[in-house]
Amino acid sequence: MHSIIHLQNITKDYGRFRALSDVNLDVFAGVTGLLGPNGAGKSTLIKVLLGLVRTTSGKGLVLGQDVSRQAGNIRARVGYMPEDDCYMHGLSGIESVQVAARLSCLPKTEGLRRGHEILDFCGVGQERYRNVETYSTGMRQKLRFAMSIVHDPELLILDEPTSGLDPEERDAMLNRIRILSQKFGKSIILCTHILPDVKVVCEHVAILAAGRVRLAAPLADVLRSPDPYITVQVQGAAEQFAGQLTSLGLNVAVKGISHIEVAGAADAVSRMVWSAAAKANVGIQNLTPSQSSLEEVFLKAVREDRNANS
Amino acid sequence: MPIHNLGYREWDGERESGSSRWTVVAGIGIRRAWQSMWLRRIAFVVWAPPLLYAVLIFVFEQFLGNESGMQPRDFARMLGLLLPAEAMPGVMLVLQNVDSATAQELLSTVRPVFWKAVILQLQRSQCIGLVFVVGLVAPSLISQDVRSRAFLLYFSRPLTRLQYIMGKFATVAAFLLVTTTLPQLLLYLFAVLLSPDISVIAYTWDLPLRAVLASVTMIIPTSLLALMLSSLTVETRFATFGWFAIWIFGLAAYVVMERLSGDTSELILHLSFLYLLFGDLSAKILGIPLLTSHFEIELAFVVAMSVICFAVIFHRVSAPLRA
Repeated sequence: MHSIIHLQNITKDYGRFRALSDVNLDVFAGVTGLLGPNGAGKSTLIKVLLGLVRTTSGKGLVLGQDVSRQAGNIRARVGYMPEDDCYMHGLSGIESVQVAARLSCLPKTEGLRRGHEILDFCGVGQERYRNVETYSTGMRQKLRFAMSIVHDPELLILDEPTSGLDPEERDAMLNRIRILSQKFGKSIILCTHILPDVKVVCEHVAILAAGRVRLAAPLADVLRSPDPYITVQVQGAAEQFAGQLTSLGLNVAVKGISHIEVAGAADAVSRMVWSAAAKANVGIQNLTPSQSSLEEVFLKAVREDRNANS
Repeated sequence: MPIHNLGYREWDGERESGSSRWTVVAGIGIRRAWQSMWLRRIAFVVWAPPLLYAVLIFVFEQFLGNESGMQPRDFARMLGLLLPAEAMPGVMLVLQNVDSATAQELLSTVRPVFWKAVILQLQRSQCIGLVFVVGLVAPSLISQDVRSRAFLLYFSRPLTRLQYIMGKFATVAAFLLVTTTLPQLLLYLFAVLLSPDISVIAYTWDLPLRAVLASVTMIIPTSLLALMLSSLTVETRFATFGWFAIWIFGLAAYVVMERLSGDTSELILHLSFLYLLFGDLSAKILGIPLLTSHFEIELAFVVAMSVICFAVIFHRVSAPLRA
């Protein structure tokens, strides 16, 4: 698969403080979750990707453009939604989006037309004519999202897009992200602390800690348990079914009246489970492969880093 | 959901050239500044002096039209009412040389001197208007962006820091061009229209160019100075205070130094008060002779001030991105 972002040994120092240390990262098309504790270097990494800060060493390509020499080209093709509560003072919502469009070189009238279209998409109604200073946190969040996509970027970098949103708005925001990714083929980097959001929309995940990339892999691989098993919920005699499975050479643990855990990866053992159920004359109500939780993976990556440092 | 909501759509229209992005920044600034009722009032008031000077030119031209055999000394007396005192001895030198000239030669010499004097005086009065216009427009331009963290919204676009500063500068400059330069050019046009024939342009053609140059010499450093103050704080009121303090303390320093120590160098006096500094530069650029002139030093001071202000603005605008 062709990577849209390729970072090679990127190091960034602020004076004596090393914010990024030898970052090697490939980001592929789709939605990538960028995770990391506070101070991990996520914001610095975003600034490097946008060419807003010069790297101390290393090479980086975003959409095939060099981050240190073609920053302007990158920023024309990338949409960025900052985490900070930032806005353009004294402008209304629609004016802000129009200005964002015009700064990305859309003509004046087209910027206005496009601005209205995008605000409709983002669920901003008549409030668009109000001054942004009167907006709630959630409204500003939607406005920043609209400003980041108004110029139809190929790559979107969203920094905490769902923080401060109520559950309904959060779902709507995640839905928009999904639409942009799946229907319009946009590549998206989602920086967030809300791990359920990552599970819902991301296809890849990268975990950053203390300026280093600790993990970068497809989400499905990350969630795959190191000791896989499947949980089978049966209707009927679970003990007899367990004996049948054991006789097939499977490692089985009975977990209550109707639940049985069978060791092994789902694709390897599920066929044997179904045939054993047929022989034991029991019905299978549910068959669930085991998963690592993203929280566990995240904490493990961060703790490994702390242990290495201590 | 609006009934016309078509959902997200891709956009593949023709994009504009990137070189005009600074005009977007300037457009925001101008629109925002013009919302201030005080600015609209002051912009209206600063157009009053040009009207007064237009009346003066009208009276002057009527007076010349009478061919009353006016002598250089009479002109000098008339100019004395208009010109700054320090310019008078130099003007007298010019007028003494035309003692023996014919009436037509006298007019062709005296008229430009009179017009220059009027434009210089207009510029000096507009300089006071400039202080108020800049004081209302510039202080919020960068400080509000720092406060509302708008830098990330600007610079995540293909907008360079130089274009951003150019946009902010253009905002202030646009107001100053309308309130200082444009009145001077219109005054010149008015004077030409009142003249007996169009040949007057032949010996005054350089006056509008000199007026524009003198205005620019005033607009660039003052705009950069005010923007620098704006970039140094997140509180607009501090930048406003700093701007007016520079002028008020400059005036106070000038008065105190002049009264308390009579032997203070004139150069130091003029460098301490921007009003006098720009007055000197304007007089020189307009071609009005001053007895004591430190044009080179004063110009170097203004250039150095502009460069320092620009460097500070550039540094301050870059700071939030480095954090």
